[in-house]
Amino acid sequence: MSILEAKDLKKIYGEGENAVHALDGVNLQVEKGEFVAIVGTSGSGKSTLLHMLGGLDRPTSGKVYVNDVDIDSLSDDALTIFRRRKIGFVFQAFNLVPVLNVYENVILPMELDGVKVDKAYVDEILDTLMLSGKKEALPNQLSGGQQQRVAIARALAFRPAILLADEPTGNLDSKTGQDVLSLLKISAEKYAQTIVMITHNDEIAQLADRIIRIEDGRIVSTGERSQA
Amino acid sequence: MKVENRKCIRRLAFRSLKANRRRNLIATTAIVLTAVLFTTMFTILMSISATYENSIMRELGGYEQASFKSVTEQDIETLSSDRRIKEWGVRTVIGVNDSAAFKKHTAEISYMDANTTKWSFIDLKEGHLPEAKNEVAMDTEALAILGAEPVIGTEVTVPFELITDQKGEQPLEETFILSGYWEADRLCPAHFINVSKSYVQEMEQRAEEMGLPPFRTDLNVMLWSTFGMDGFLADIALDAGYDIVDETAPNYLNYGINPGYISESVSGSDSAGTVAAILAFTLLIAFTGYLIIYNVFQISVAGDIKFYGLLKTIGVTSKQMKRIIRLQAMALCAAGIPLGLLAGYGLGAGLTGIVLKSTTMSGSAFTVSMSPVIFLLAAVFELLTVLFSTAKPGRMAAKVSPVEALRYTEGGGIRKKSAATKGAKVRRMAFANMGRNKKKTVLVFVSLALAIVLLNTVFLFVGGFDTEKWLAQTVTFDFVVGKTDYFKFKGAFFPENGLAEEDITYIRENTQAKASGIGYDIGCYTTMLVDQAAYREYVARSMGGEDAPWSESGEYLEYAIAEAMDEALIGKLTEYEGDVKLLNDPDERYVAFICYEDEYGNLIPDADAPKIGDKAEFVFSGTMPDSNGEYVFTELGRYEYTVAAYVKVPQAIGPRRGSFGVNVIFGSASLAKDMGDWMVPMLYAFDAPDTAAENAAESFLSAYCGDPSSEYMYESKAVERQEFDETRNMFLLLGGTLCGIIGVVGVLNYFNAVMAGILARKNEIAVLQAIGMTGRQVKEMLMTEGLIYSAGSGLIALALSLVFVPVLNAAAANMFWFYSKHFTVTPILLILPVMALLGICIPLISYKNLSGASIVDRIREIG
Repeated sequence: MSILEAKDLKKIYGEGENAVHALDGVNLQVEKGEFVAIVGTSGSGKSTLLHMLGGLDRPTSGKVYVNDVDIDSLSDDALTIFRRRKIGFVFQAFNLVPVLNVYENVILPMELDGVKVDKAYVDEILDTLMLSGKKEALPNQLSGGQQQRVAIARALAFRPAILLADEPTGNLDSKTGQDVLSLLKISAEKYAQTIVMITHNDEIAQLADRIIRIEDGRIVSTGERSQA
Repeated sequence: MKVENRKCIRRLAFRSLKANRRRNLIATTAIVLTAVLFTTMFTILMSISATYENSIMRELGGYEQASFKSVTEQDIETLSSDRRIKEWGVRTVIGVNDSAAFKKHTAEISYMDANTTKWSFIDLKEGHLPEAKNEVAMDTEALAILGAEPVIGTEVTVPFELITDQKGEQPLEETFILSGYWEADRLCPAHFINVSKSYVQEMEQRAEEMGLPPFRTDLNVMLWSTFGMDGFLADIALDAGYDIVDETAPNYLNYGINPGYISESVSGSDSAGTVAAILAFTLLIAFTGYLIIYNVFQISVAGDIKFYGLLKTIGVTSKQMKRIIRLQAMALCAAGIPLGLLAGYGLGAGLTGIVLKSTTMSGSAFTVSMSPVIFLLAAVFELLTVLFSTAKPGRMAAKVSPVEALRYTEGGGIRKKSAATKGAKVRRMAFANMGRNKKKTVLVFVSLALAIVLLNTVFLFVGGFDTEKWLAQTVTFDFVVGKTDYFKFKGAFFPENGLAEEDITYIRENTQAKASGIGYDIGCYTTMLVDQAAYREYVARSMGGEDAPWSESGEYLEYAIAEAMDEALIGKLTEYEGDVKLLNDPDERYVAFICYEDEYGNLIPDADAPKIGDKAEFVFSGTMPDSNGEYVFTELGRYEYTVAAYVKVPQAIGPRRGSFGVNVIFGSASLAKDMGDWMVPMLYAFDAPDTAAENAAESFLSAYCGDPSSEYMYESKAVERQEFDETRNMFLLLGGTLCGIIGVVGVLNYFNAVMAGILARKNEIAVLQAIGMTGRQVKEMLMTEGLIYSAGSGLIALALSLVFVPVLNAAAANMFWFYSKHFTVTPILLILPVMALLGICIPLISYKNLSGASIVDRIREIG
């Protein structure tokens, strides 16, 4: 059973002659527990695809199913709530809330939802990501690698259906990037977490179970699992 | 579940609030200032109303809410035990003194208990209320009249007549020991001379021996609320078994509500206009507050759009987002409103004093209202303004699309064009920058222009108050002297209400006059003979249809308000038709009818007046002793007069007695031959030959009429001018304060816009500097932007004023007859350099703040 599915996804910016087909009929399936890397050059449409998959933006046509829910059928607020419960995000620019400390940032999605925070679980994640000593620190007191690990912890804390990562190492030097990714992979295995990661870096993409290549808004290779 | 998530929203709201110090400071200042405006307005309004009420109560002599009249000890016991009565007090009046010395204010000799004393505005300066039989307490002025010093223990001799001794046949005189005294209150209608209860009891016995009825005791009460008093009082009386309807019933009980508490009937007449003015003012203040608070929040939300987009990505719903913004606004209110309320109350209290100084209400009644309504209303209006101002920025944050937010930059697009075509032309860039966020630019223009337009309006308005026009209309003679009664619109029907011959002579001897004359009231019933149809109409119009001719002969007589004038006074009348000078002929009988002015200032002749040249017959009647010495209503004479003119009589020398029936002017020389014995000098008016004489007369009259025992009052050009100037200055001060506060709000808005604009472009400016723009060029660009704001708002203000000055002129001229239309934009021209200075300084200060960090740091500071 696929946990994430995209059907004939299209996204067109602009109109008429100026129309840009950022996505031009993408079909995609991701199974539970898979670690998928989407690889493409700058402008290939990979970020747009991730935005669609995460419900951050709405497609021009086509459907996205997360846990068999058609996310386009949800209202803005319902989608927001769905997102915070089912989808975890990790961005290139970390995007931590600057006024909240590490622990507060991590539990924020749960608090927004009003659910009881599983403190033991959060502590465990922070421990796995080697952040136990930084719980009280504010984002600007952390290094880039530490900030990205906080973002990963935040994404994992709600036990989302999928974790979407957009160039998670883009702002980090290669050594730190490798470290962060290793921790991401360890966490994913530990918690049987489904991950879809975008990158333009083939070396990093090799860590994934499967590599999907995208060019000019179309998938050119689905990277069958058996290849790995 | 709710609780948990609320806490988190609150944390987000307050943490990001803390991160926004500059915005908070400006927004809080704006909240404080608008709250100050609201509170000041409500304080002034409520205080004027309280002062008005206080002065009415003082003129009535007490602020008890109601009284049960003529009660016995038994009645007092029954009534006062009623739970609906909060407090009660009693008063028994035993005597009066209305001899010449107490003419201005009658002396009332009475016993008051502690409550009634308090409610009668008596505040003992020294001593205690009378307890022993020979003790007395009174005000300082009464003491002076009785020739005693305000020293406790002094002997005071009080002559008086018992209140029940109506014909004053048995005058009394008693010597007391002064036990206490208080400062005289000019507003009080009487001099209260308070004696002890034991003295009243003794006098009760003496009155009985003299064959006089017992004294009247009133029970004064305070209820729990002034609302629905009439019903409560009736219920109290009925429940105690009294009859309140049938005056002949043995258990009849009469009660009265203090007219001071029936305020609706007093102030209701011009309430629509007042409410409209208050509403307009409230809206102006709310709009001023809205302009800046909205702008501050809008700019801050736009600046933090990435932050809000991020929150949205994490899962903050639009409802939660709006709550974050609202919570921040409320936190700023919590800090700003109390401060604003306090400062506004202080300012309001101060300004009320100045406002009241220029009105007829005496300073002694000056009351600053402490009603919680002031604070409640101001706080509610302020909260509404803030909520309204932050609603749209809140919606903007709530609507933010997470992907869009990641890309968001202010405005965008336009700048690129200019940069491409004109290269590094610094000034061009500045202009282009203004277009990046048109809404913000317009808001700054509007908030600055509003303050300038208001300033100009205040000066235009106050500048139009024409002292000479006012004086020409209100002041007919340099001086008018009369009895207090005349100026209180009571005329001088009885000789004792008029000026004594010897006093007129005394004034004449002590002043120089270029022209002088006397206006006489006629001390008998003056009526005009009319036909039945005219009489019917007159009766229907003025007496509500009660058809009863006054003359026993069955003739139809219309009441006339008449004044006889000397030649000097007649010379000041304005002719509408005919020749008023005919009245000066002592040998012919001529009459002039007074015209009225409608609301447009047109003269309208009296409807019942005969045509010019026609005859009108006047009948004079009065009470005269007949052959048996009994006083009977007798016709004193009837004469035929030729109508000489329709005239307008200046209020200053007119009868000042309303406009019942027909209103006519006779020539004094001619009328003296027929009715000389009945003419009562009501006013003496004169013009001084020069300024020196005018000043001399002013100081003479001020001393002469200012003496406490004097029954005279005067009006003069100097007093009138001073009062008018005070009024004008009051408007200038009020308007200036308003402009000042709104101006500060405007400058704050300006400062915020410039500062936020620079901070938002921090990174962009750093990039410009990195690619070769010098610090000087950056400053030049920012200064140009600042000057565009100044020039733009100046021009908008100028344009608006050019359009609105004629409209305002017309409106003001319509409202105030003493307003002279004129044109001015001088205040705008004067304020322009100040604006220019601000335009240069504010960007420079902001840039200085920014340039501390290195270019590299500033470029890095993204994401």
